[in-house]
Amino acid sequence: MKIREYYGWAIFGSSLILSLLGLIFVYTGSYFWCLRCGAPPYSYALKQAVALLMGVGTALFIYKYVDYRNFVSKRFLWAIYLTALLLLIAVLIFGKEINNSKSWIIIGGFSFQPAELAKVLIIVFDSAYIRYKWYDITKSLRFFLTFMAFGLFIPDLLILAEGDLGSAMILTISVFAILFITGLNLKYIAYPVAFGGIFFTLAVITAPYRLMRIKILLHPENYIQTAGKYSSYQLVQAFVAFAKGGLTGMGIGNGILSKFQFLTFAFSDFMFAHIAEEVGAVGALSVLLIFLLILYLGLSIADRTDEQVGKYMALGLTLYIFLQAAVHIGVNIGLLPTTGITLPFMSLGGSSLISSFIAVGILMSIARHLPPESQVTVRLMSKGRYTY
Amino acid sequence: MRALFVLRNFIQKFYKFIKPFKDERLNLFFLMSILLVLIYGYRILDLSYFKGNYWIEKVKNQFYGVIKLAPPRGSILDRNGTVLAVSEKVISFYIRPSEVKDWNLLKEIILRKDSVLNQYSAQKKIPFERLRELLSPFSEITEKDLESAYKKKFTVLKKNGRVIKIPFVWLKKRLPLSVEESARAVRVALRIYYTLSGENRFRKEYPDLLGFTTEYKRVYPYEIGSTVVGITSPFGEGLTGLERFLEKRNLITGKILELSGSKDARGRVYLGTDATVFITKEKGNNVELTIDGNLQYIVEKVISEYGEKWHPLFINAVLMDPNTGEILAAASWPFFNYEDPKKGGPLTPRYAVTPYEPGSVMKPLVLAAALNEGLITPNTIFYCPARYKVGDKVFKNEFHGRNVKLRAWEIIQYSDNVGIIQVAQLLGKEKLYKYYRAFGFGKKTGVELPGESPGILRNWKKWRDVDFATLAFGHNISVTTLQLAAAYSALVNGGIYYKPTFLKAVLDDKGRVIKEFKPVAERKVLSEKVSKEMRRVLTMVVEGGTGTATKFVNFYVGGKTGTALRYNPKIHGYDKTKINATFAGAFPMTNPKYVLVVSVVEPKVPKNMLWASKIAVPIFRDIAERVLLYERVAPDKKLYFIDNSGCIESKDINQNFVFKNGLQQKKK
Repeated sequence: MKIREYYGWAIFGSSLILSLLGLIFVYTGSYFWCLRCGAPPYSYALKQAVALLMGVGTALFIYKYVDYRNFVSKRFLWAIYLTALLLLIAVLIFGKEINNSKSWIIIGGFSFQPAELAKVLIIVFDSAYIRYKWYDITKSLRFFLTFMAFGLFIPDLLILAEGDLGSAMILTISVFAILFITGLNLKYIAYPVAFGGIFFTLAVITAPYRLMRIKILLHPENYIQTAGKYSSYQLVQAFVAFAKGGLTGMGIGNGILSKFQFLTFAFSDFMFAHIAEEVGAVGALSVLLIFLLILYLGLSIADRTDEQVGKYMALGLTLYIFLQAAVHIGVNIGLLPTTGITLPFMSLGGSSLISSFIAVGILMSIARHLPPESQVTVRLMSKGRYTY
Repeated sequence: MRALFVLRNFIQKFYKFIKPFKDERLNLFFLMSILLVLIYGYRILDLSYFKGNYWIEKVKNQFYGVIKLAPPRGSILDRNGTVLAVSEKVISFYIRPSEVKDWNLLKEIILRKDSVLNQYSAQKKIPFERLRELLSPFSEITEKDLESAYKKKFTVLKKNGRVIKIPFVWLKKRLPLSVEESARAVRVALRIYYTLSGENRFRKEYPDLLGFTTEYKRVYPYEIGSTVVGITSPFGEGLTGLERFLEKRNLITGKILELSGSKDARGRVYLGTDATVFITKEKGNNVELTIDGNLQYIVEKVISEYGEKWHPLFINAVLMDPNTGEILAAASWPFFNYEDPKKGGPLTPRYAVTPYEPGSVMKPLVLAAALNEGLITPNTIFYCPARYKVGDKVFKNEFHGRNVKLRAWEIIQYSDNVGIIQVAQLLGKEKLYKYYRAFGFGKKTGVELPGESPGILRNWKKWRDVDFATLAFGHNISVTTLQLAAAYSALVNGGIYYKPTFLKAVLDDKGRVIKEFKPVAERKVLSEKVSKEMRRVLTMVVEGGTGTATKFVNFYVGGKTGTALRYNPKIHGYDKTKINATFAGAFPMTNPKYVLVVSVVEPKVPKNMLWASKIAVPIFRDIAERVLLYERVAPDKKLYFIDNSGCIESKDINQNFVFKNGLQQKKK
């Protein structure tokens, strides 16, 4: 094995460790929830384990057989884009509504969230398409705006139609990060940013509950007992989970907030608080650092590849993983308003886990095709940054 | 220099660390991410370590809860230990029709249809008869119950304006079955259902499709003394009577057991693995009443006989022990119907709640007051004219136009209004008011019944002369039957006013006395001598006055009738067809053991019967006769003995107890 492949395997290893830890915490977090629903207590953990096996298989398959460079062709681009759009449209038509968001498709007893896969596909499509039409996009505003409309705005709208604001924001930020490093004229980005800003402000003003959520975020202690959707009950329970955990935690399986179901969705939306309760601040910080490590490794891959498409893809997918983690943890510790973002690799959710492992597989594939160290060094000596 | 070199080297390394990539934009991303992670890290430490207790303080109450175990209510006993009210464990079956997939199967199991039981017994090789026997607690459930439960499907609750549907319907309530047998029946029925239908009970949110709860039902075995004992609500709270009073004083309810444990988000409390409870529930204490069940039965029997005969609004009767103030029996016809509460009478203890104008029963009290003040003696002679004018009103005497001379005791015997007005005028307004108050009128007696009425007695300063005159013979005043009984007790027992009471003792479930209620002698109203004189005076009413209907051969019985017209709001005056007939008396009179007051309100009888002597006295007589027979009181008028030849002989005793120096014979 060549040294440069270590980056890929390191990402794979970190995500595998996170997933295995996640399996444990899903089990402890969902034990009593499952019992309450009349299911065996291990049923959620079992689902997660099956998804983990599938995800690892998919990642290794992509690593072994898929060459990401083939994506930069009209045929592949069409296929990826249409698949993503079809998935998003299908869920709007056949989807089942669970917890106020219509994001589940149930086929033969298996339920999955197409939006998770679609997000990865859109990021892959966008990075490949930017490489495909790099000159047009960077030089023509009209072309750039058309690309933004089709490559980001329409998928975003479809995801928003499902009622999943958090996912849409993560996708948007990832795509903007890719645009940021393409050497694009920054004036171009100003248009969509301004448009997005106005859109966001309007959204906050028109829907009072969003404003209320921000108020709750600023003073959670005032809304503990308020009934209904304006309550900070869940957030405060998450804080209490951190407090109960202390530095070293109550021990795995001893978390009383999830056991007595004060902390609802301890196995998905409030996974990080659950982890903090059971293994303490030390464990929670370790998880946070592992995500930082994944970011570092992903950015290293993006830094070292000599392929434009590899760079964009590596950056987009790394950010996709890291941003989800950042938003999830931010929600849990009360720095961001509550959205239903799960912690990648750790929270319950087969679709999310498999999609994340697809991203890991692509990152491994990029790492596999990194140029030899000597070439990189030569380039570094010559200019200090990449040129194409 | 060396140090500077090291420092420069370190700064370079650090710079390289935070700028690990060659692409400046990637470095920017990474720098921002590290900043984010630093902020997050600080916040995590802040939440879990530095300020952790702040958030725990905010919600500290959510983690701990208390389970309250309510023990059964104590029994109410009469003075002989007979149970008047007792709690019985009953069983209520419920069902969850909306959770049942194969309704017909479950229905057939509960109805114990042969086909289903045969199928199961063949499958599991259990004798068919045994199955039927195991399911026997369901025998009271009919197909109709099941169908109505299936139609209903949900119990709908309204809470905070929201409508909550619970998949829970009562199937049959309050069956007197044993808990063990019912539990076994439910278990067997569910096993048959799950076996035959093939459903997985572990996949269900409510696996208990069928179940039961236990509760305590209040049973009144003899159904006597309803107004005294009262009833409880279906949830075991005292609603009326002593059930309510004793609950308020925590005498009958047991100590509620509180077990603390961890609470979950839905408010359910878990005691934990090492909290197996070995605490016996402390049962509520039993309360012994002064009521004698047998005497109560006698009183109720008699007044219901007369009630059905005359159809009055109601008949009150209070039997009291004058020497202690203990109420032996108190009843108010029409009685409460335990089977169908809508058909019977109310539970109101009307003898304590409904005041009325008593009439002449008040006269002995006026005379007693005058005697006690030493103004007159029983033999004092009064001149009673046929017409006697007070203020602008003329009062007539009882002798139909004759001007007569009467001794003081004869005024009571013949119930003469003019005579008693003169006695009262001797006494004066203030003194009369003082004595009425001392006899307990115009204030609550303090008996242990909720909603007692004080009656009406205005202050003497507001009395006009006419009011004063009418007050002397019991008009312009409202009293309750119980107040009259208490006042007559004080009149005959030696002049001590005892607080009437229903409570004798509080016993624990093994019969040990925890608390005893001693008789409360509130005040001395009359002197011993006056009381004795008054006994003689009252005896004369029965021996030769208005109460002759209750004259016994071998007992001295004393009392006073009282007939008062009832005020009719429709004609704005007193209605001559409606009367309150009262007889207040005591027996045996030489040493009174019982005071009995009977009041009949609005009897529907012919006009010539509208006198207390025809209405209340027979009731008094019947009750007194049976009470004396039941209690086997020694006669005080005649002494029975066996002479030397073996024959039963009798001899009059206490001959000088009655007055014999009367001046008048009443003529009609």
